[in-house]
Amino acid sequence: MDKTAQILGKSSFKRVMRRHRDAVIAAVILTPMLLFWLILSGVPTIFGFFLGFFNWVGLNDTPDFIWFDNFIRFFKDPVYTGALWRSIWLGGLVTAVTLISGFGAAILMNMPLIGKGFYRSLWYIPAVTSTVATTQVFNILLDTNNGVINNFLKSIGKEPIIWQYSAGWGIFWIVVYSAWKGVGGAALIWLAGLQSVDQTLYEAADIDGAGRWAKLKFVTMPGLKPIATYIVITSLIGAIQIYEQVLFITNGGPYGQTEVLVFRIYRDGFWDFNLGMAGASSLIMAVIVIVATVFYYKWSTGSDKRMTIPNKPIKRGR
Amino acid sequence: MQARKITNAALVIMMTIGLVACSSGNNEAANINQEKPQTTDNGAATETPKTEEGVTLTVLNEGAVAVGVGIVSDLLGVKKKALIADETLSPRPVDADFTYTEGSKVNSNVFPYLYQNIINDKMKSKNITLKTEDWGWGEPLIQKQTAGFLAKNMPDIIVGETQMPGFAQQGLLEPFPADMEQYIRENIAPAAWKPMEYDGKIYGFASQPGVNSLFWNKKLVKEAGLDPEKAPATWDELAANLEKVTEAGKGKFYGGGVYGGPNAGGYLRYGTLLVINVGGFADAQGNPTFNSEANLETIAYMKQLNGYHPAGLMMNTNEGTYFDAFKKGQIAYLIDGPWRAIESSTLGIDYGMAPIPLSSDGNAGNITIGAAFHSVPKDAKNKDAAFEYIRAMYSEEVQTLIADTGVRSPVLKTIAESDDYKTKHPEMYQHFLAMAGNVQGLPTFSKESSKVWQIFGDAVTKSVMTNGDIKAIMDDAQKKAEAITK
Amino acid sequence: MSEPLRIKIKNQFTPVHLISHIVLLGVGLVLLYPLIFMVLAGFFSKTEFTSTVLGVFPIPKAPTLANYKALVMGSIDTAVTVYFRNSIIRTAYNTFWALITSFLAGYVFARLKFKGKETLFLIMLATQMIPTTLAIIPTYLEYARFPFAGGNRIFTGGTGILNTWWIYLIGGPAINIMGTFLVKQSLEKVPIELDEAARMDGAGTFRLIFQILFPLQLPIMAFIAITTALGTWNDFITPFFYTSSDSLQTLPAAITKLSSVGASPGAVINYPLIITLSLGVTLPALLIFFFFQKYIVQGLASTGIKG
Repeated sequence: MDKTAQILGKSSFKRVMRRHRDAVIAAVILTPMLLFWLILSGVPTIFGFFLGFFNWVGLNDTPDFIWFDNFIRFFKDPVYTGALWRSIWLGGLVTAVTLISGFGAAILMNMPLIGKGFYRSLWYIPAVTSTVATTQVFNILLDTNNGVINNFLKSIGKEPIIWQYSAGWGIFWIVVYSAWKGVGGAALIWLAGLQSVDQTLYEAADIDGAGRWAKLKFVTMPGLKPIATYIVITSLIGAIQIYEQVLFITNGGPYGQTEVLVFRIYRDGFWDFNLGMAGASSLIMAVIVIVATVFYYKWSTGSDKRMTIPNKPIKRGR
Repeated sequence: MQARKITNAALVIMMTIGLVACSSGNNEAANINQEKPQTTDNGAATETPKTEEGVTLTVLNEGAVAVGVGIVSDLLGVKKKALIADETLSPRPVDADFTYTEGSKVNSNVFPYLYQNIINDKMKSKNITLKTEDWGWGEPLIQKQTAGFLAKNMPDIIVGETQMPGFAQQGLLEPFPADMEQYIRENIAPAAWKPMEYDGKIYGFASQPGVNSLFWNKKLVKEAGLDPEKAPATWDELAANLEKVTEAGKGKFYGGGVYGGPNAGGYLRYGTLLVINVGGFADAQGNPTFNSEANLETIAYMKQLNGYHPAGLMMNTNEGTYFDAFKKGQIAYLIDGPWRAIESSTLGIDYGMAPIPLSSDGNAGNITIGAAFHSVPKDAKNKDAAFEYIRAMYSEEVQTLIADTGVRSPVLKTIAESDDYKTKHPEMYQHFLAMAGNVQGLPTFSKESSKVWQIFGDAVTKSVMTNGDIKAIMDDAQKKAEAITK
Repeated sequence: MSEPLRIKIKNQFTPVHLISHIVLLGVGLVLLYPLIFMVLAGFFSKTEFTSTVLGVFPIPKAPTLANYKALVMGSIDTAVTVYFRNSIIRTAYNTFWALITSFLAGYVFARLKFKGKETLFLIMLATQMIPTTLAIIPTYLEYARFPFAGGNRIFTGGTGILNTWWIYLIGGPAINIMGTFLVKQSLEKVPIELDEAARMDGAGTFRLIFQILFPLQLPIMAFIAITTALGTWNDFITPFFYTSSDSLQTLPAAITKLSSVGASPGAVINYPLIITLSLGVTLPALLIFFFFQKYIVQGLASTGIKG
């Protein structure tokens, strides 16, 4: 980049270059990336949000600008507020179960065990499988009449369970599936956190005669706080947006009791051609997630000024 | 007010730039990707001759007649090899099955090949090259079609089932030309086009649709001490039979009845009961009529039927489960489309097939099911060629092939009503009669149709699965639905 | 952890270690169960799979290799060699770009000072929180109207870049926001004095980035590479929505189509085939993970998510 400046040679230009050297380099590096990013997701997303201000029901209709009507409807219609509420608590439940079980696994994996690598891989296997395929396996297992689990229950003389008509079981299986897929990844991140805790603190604790539990409480936990912030936020953002497992496992049933907001957005956009509502719901969801993230971040890091708001796991490749 | 005008204008400009497509300039795009079909055994691709003159007609794949994706002329040879090599098929196709003479018996596994062969020959004679694309089926298909309509990027012929009437209502499809329409009305059973009729015009055609019939497993019925040859004629008789079979099954098998899940697979089947009992999903104007007296009666009957099923099976959300239970000999009776006959005989199930029993003051009626409606989008590039394709679908050759295969019934009256057909395929002739009678499709509601359907499906499952008052539940559903459609 | 192996082995037999082994192995096997089920299901024929009552470990009466054959050699509906080829090219391409963009952008945000840096970064992170479902239809419109492509004049006329390789290529150079974040965090832990010393020795920006800073970031780069590769490998939305010709499909997209065909009344879903093909998708992903997993932990441990 310095060369470019030399070749161009104009003295005033040179001076500008020198003073804003960082900015120029940043612009040269970032501009093309951001342009491609705009094409890939920026423009479509903004376009999608923009639609939130229109009444556009049906593929052949002319969109009609209606200001905030879609947003007002969102908060008046229990279908949407209910879905939003479910997204939040189901997301919270999925996050809690995944993270707690992942933490337990990470503590075990952090011990000097032979075959650590094997265990890590074993636990991570579900994360690399495709959702479409594995939800189908879950459905085969959960089939009311001939499912593997019910067949097993019948063979030991128990009554089969009608999973599909119990919201409790529906949520249970969504959580189990999500935790099954997520626990390996969570364990890895916790493990990274455990390994980044300052080892000298443990030695100091040993000298003080601290037990296993005391070390966990007074050394490990505080040392993990930053990574906990990271993993809670990323998992929560990911979990609030789950819809594939809902689509494939319960399809929103029974009677819409497991319908989450992203599932609703999907239905609005693709089934009812109600692109206006889909845009409005997405915007509301994005705002809530962003605000919640900022608050949680502020709360958990206290005075730490360094900005480390992370995001959901790496975007699916395009 | 001013702001609103300006934004509106801005949006219209955006839309015109973004959405309005010109009709020309598509050839480049079409030529970028020439597919090479893959063969099964050695991975070598066959040559793809490129036709320069004439038009290339792009058609979406439909499972029942699919031979693969690409130029049909090339695919046929590959498909033939693959079918002969496939060990899992029964009966296994042999070389002789691939030459078809009218009136001869057809191996149902070879049917897609023969079907495409006839249509392809007809298109070739008109200098049309046939090309297929696979957009999936069900939800993925609807998503892709939605996006395709918005971008005005559609094949020449699209295929689909429950979503197609909605597309017609939204003005996205091209109505059939007057001569075709007249011919279809006069010569073809309503099941093939009636659901696609909107505002007096016809927007789609299915070459081998089905309607529902009652099927039963003769072995199980016999075990219950009933006459396996006699079909129940009324709802009460059916319920009595179901009860007897359930008792005789002692938890090993059950009576069965009808699939009632909250999805299209359910509506298409138990909808028949609603129609028979002179109820239905919507009135003539397309407004929901969920809580009509007749419907409440039908739903109460469904609740009774639920007792003749293994727990949770009838209202299961996954329709495949229900039909698997019949295949596994766990339920004795069910309502389904005509393919159930051939599938049962392949599995060695001795089955009976009859029209659906009637309610005490009901009339015969039915719902079109398993119909792959073929339509021409407004934005299709080769509309004339596309209509030629649809003409080929109801040509005598194709319809005779369907008749000879015996999996479904033909829709061309001259063939289905011939004495030859009546004697050779008595069951399928009964099925044809049902297709020629009072047949409806699933309605599309004026606004947010899928949401209204969901309200209905959920209300019916709630009525059947819980002890709540049916009337109260359906009244509530009606109110919710009206709030959306009004 | 450089204790002698003998002591290490001896340590495995304390109660705590034993319990850990049992839990990790036991629960791990339970987690593996759906995959074991998949492997077994692959030996079923379509007909037998739907017409028999399945046990916990289903064993077919008439086992068939047809599904595994289809996975290796393809069948009429599944040109697996083409799908695998496309998947591999896409994965390599996206991973390559993810490494470049996240490292360069990470460097910019960690080391350079310019106005609006924090705001820009915040906006980028915020966009990651928007449900991606929303963008599918607008993206489709954008691709279809892509100027001067696929017979388009300026915006309209043809099919744009839909159904071409551009669908897969265009997203590559876009900034990888998650990767940028991780590199930024990791670089901030590298003392700035290192840069200054390098500059004193006369290193230009280019040399500084690639010869001095990049080697220090290898663990986190490995992590980014693996996550991007897995994400691309499993992605079915892009091929499914924006392409239609068979020569552009990838295996996950083909599976999606196969499993949806069963939704049409009268069709029978070929579960065993779908399950076998899914195993085919999983296996390479698993191998990638198995060989690089230690970098994932290292990479994560090295980032500034330590705060």
